[in-house]
Amino acid sequence: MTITDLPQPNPGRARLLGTATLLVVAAGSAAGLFLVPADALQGEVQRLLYVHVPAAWLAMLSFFVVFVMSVLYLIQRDPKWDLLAVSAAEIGIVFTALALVLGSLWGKPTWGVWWTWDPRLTTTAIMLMIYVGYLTVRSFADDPDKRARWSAIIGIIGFVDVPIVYLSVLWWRTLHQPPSSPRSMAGEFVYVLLLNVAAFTLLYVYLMLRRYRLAVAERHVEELRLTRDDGRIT
Amino acid sequence: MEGQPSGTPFMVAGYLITWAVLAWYVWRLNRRSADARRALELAPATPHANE
Repeated sequence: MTITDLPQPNPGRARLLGTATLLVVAAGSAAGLFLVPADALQGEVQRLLYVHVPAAWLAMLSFFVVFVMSVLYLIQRDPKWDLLAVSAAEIGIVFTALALVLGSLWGKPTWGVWWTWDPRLTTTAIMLMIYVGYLTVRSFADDPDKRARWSAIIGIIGFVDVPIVYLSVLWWRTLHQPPSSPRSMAGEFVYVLLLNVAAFTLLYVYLMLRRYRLAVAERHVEELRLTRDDGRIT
Repeated sequence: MEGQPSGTPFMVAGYLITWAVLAWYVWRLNRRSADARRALELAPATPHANE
């Protein structure tokens, strides 16, 4: 299979999805900012939960996708799995960084510090570094197959940290609160949180479609350059 | 909470940063897509392999 044979998302559908995503994410933010009251203990800063939790959820989802795509690539050696993996890795890095920044903004007025070497925060920072490393390693390999293989191995091994991040608040004594759930939150807060999680998940689908389409195009450009720059290679 | 700064500026900053980061990332995707499309349009046809 060549790069030009790869399935590509329909641009028209992507635009429609983009518009729907924008509206749903805006609705989620509006609900988080204006629909629910401030938390009785934490005050207004608690509203950051409605963006921090979805960002963290998407980060872990992204790296799970990297893991699955990496396994599929090593089994089938189909380039589309590698392009999906790199797309998910990049998006995952954006959401991990966002989750850390938002957590910091919540932590300063709540805990009094921007950062602490708490297990959840530390393992999340490690997760960010692993996937930045994933993208960095890709830049060292000119050969697309070698690049895909190296990064697939990192994508599989690196995923070990993801369940550690999630379970860190249960395994160790930690400042970070346990996972938010209907049992730990009042009803109206739960609905707004779920709305934002759904909105961000839709956003994730949209970003994956866009990023994958870009990955296919860039891979096509690379293939054309490889065949042009070295006429001996076809 | 006593002794802690008000959370409102942090909350506002958080939402602004979220929207700014997401907008920036979509803008980056658009920019890179345009660059790739231009590169594909400018690229000469791939020479066929000798059979």
